[in-house]
Amino acid sequence: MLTPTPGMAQNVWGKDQTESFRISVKQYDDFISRFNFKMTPDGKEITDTAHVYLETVEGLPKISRRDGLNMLIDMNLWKQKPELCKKFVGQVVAAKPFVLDFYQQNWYVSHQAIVKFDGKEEQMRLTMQIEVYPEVGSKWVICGVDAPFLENDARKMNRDHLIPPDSNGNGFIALGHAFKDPGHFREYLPKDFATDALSRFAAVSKQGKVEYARAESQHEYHLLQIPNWAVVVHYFNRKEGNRGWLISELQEVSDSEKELYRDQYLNIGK
Amino acid sequence: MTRTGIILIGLLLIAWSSKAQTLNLTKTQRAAFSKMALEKTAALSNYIATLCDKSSPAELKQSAMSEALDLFRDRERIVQVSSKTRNEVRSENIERYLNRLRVLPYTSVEIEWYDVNYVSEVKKGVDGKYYGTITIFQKFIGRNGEQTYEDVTQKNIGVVLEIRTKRIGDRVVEGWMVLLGDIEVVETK
Repeated sequence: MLTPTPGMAQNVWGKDQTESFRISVKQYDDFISRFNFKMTPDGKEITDTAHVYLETVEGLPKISRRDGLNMLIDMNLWKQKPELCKKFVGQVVAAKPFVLDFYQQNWYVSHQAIVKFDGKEEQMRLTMQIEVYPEVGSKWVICGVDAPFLENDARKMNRDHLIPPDSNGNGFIALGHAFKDPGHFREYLPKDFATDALSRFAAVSKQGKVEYARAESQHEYHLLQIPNWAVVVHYFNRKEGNRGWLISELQEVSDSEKELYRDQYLNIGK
Repeated sequence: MTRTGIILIGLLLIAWSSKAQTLNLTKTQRAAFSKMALEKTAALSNYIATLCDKSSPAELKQSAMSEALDLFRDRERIVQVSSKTRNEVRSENIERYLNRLRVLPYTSVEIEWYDVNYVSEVKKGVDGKYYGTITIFQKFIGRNGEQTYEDVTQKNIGVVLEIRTKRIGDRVVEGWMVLLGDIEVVETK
């Protein structure tokens, strides 16, 4: 079985850096191609679509889709959880092989950013999702957010801004005053009124209070479209072993647990 | 590449633009897109080498700057640099990035290409334009007397295929053009 080990770029595929770059998984599309066995672990396109053993480069007698998938898992995850990795690969190449598609649903990107809120730098995590419009095109949308300034914390009532209790007696004329008081509009809503973080984010963004400053780190992919699995794909920038976009975490999860995953890890629907 | 060259490529692309209405390009279209994207990337590298080289005359640098900016969709494109040693990501707009290169202290500059590149699937946006990302690996060598600075980077360069109009004499010609977008630079060494 071919699994990634430190130094393998040098030992298996030659000594120069070109080879190391060739085996690195360069983009998420590259990850999809290798996952679907449209590309060999050393970055050669497979034109024969039959997912069978095939002859490859000198020094490697045969490569299978299983070998290709093994190489897509971070070498450290292999060290920590070899049985889990084998189980995952086994299920992907099982009788009805699973393939990834960019336009599938249930996969997300988690992007860690620094933003300025009211002029002050804050950390923020945005969850991105590709939205497809058949025959038109596609675009990324923000589907979940998490930031300290979006927390729905307890607040003190401001007693000076109210629709008085007698307003029903005069045709709610006070509503006119309330609408002219946008800075205190929250005071005119029920005490248990709550919005989700994405709605609060949309509201403060519309007010021009949030400014994107920069990415804080490389984003990561969360793949929930693979039956019974939650998979995290992370960028590994290193000299030896497998590198580029690789599977950094694997979890066996049911469909109901995936709902929880979306809520807790990706802040979708919060 | 000259401006005339860009117009010609645009005109050539008209022939297949009407067929490019599905979410993905055909294999032939994708190959043409990849070729043009790589040419633009190579042109950008040449301009960067000129900008970084202290011995380049000021007029040549000015011309390289202007030609380099013309390769991009607009001057708002961002260059984002992530370092292997520092846990931070820096970003600045393309014009500022190129201006910074202009004042580097190197008396000679070489940019070597590794024989590896990757062009993503080209995807259609809801705006009707086609978007892709090209990955290249380069070694930068800057010399200043006895001192040599070297880095090896992976560059992920956004590329967009869009309709542009150009005036040729008294005619306005509409054609598809390949333009560069935002750039992510990842230091690998």
